[in-house]
Amino acid sequence: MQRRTLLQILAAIPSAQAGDLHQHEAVAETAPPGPRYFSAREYRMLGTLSELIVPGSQDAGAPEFIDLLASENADYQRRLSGGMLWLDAACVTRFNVPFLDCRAEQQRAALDLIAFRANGEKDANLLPGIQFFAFLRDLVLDGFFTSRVGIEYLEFRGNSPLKSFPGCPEIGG
Amino acid sequence: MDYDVCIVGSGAAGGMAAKVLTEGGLRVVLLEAGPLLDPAKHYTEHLWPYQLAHRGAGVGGTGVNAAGSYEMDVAHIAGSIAGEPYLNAPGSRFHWTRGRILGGRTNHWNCVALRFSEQDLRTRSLQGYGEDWPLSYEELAPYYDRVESLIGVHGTREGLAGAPDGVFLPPPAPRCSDRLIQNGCASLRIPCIPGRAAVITQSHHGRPACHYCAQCTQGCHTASRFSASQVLVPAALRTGKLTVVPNAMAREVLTDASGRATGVSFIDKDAGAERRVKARAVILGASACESARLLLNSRSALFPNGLANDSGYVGRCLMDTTAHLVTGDFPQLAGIKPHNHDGTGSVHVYIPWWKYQRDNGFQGGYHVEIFGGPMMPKVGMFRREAHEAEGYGVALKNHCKERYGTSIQLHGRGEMIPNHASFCEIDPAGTLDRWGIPVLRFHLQWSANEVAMAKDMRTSLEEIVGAAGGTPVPVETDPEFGYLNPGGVAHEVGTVRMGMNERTSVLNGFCQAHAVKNLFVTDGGCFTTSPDKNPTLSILALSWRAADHLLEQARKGDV
Repeated sequence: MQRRTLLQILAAIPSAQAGDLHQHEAVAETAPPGPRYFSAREYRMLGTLSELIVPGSQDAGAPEFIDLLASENADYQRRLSGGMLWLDAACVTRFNVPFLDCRAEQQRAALDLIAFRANGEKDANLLPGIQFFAFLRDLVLDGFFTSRVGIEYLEFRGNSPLKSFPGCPEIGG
Repeated sequence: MDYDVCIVGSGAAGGMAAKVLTEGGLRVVLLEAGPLLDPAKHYTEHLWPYQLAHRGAGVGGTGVNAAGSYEMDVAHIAGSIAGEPYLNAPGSRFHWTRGRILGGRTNHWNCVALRFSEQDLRTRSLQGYGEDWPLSYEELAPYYDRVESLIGVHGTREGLAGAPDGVFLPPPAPRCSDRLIQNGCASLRIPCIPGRAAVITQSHHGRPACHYCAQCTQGCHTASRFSASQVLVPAALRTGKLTVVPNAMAREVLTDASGRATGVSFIDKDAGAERRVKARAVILGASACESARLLLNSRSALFPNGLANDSGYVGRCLMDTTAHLVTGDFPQLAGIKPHNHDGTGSVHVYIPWWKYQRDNGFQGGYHVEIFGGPMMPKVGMFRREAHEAEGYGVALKNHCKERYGTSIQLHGRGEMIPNHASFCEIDPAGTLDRWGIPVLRFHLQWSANEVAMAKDMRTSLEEIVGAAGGTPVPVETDPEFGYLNPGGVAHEVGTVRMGMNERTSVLNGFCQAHAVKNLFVTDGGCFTTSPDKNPTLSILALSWRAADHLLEQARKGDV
């Protein structure tokens, strides 16, 4: 988002009049035409992985969020692009096709190996994939749970002005 | 134009002095190193994470740390400022949060407002450690009364000697997380009392009551959480006697041949040029370390080691509040129906220090601030859940939801005793900032006392979590004993301390330099010790008292 846009949003925030604030307005009026950092192919793979990690995260904008951070951070670029290439190579070795061309159950089988630290204790060759997947999982969770749908999924009821604070409805003193 | 008083810094110290002095009839010029405050532009209150460019993660994901998201911070308050570095000596890890905006760090403070007690001000004579302040609680109490009446502080009268009562507005009702901890404390016979904080729970001097969004640290549009920029500076401006100069970075306090302060030279950041302002008295409220830096950089034939620094104590005895966090898991919170749990952005209940008159194995004490429950989702919130659950898909997503809002954080906040290994100095290698001003280098070392206190915090807070029906989250022992880095809670004080003995202090009990009678330092630098209580309420009281003293001297013609 451009700085000017952010300022416009900030300027539009009213001074805490009851009822005005609990509004879910998405910021990006128009999504950018394509990814900022990832290649089209990487971005499709990121979207597939994101949706597998947290169902609903693709619509919640997790890939777009991760792409933005990666476009500004060389370390993220190395870890994410490198990790996806590692995963592709693992899929080619096992299934003869890269991750995106794998069938759904093959994709799950590939992820089942790198989604748990314990697998690395049995097979140290999995450690790079395990490290990559843990990093990506954190980013996808961040992207989903900071989105409008993610916040609604958690049933967060705050950030909404109250005239008085009623306290805890259930636990006595 | 000549002024009666030049004040450097517009936060709690400078803002308060400006209000009192202008209302007393003096013409004041206030130098602020940052811009004027525009809440619409500088505050992030009420924004959802998805309304921020990086969801709160900051550019390249580098804006997230244990304390949260820098992107959610009020603008122009940060540890890292482009072109204005600071250094740490080897082995020191001091973190310096600086405000460069009208109102300074009061724009984002968490507003816990605790009075120092007589015991806090007399640790040397009553308990044999630290130093005695050159003023008593009785002398300070009327100023606490005035400050609380002005800014609005909630709390309850409890009659505890170590936590003196104040002039209080009604406290907010406890949150569910607060209730659990209160119940646990009751079973251990540990006091857990309504919080004391500068949030107004009813309308107060024209400011509307709190709207309970829990975002005090993101700037409060309604000023229901007190700030100097929204309460003190406007009051001073209404007198018609105040001139505010923004983007003015003070470089040196000017003196005449007799050693009296005559004004301040500063860098006009917009013009990139040196300017001077003359005044009959100078008050520094630039923050403890900035004020020390300014004095150390003000050298003359009379004061070769820095202005008013005959004792060598300018920059010495740097202290912070020790901060140790114990998190408890309380799955029972998940069983409570979803509701607005936010409350104010500050404490609804807190645990004042309770182990007086016992052999604790260390000196001084700590209090405990309680936060937790279902808070605004943010970047980094589910790291622990992801690490525990691993995997992916619906099971992971559900695990995060089940665990969301079920932890409570107990923040221990402890006293640090002044020690000679902790200080700031002008960088001996000569590093300049981009305004041409020599920068600070920090040395900060916890002493054995702080280490012993950290261990006690860990044990006692875990016991409270257990008694409250929760499970403490284990932490790995680290070289800093689980403490946040020094400076982490931004309570740095002590670098221009007041004292009775001119050889071991810089200021008298009115924040007035022993050696330069028309020079005052009213920020946290003037503190003689660093009690566990958060410093801002005392800065406000001390600055008001100093300004009254200056007004009286001005009336008598002494200044």
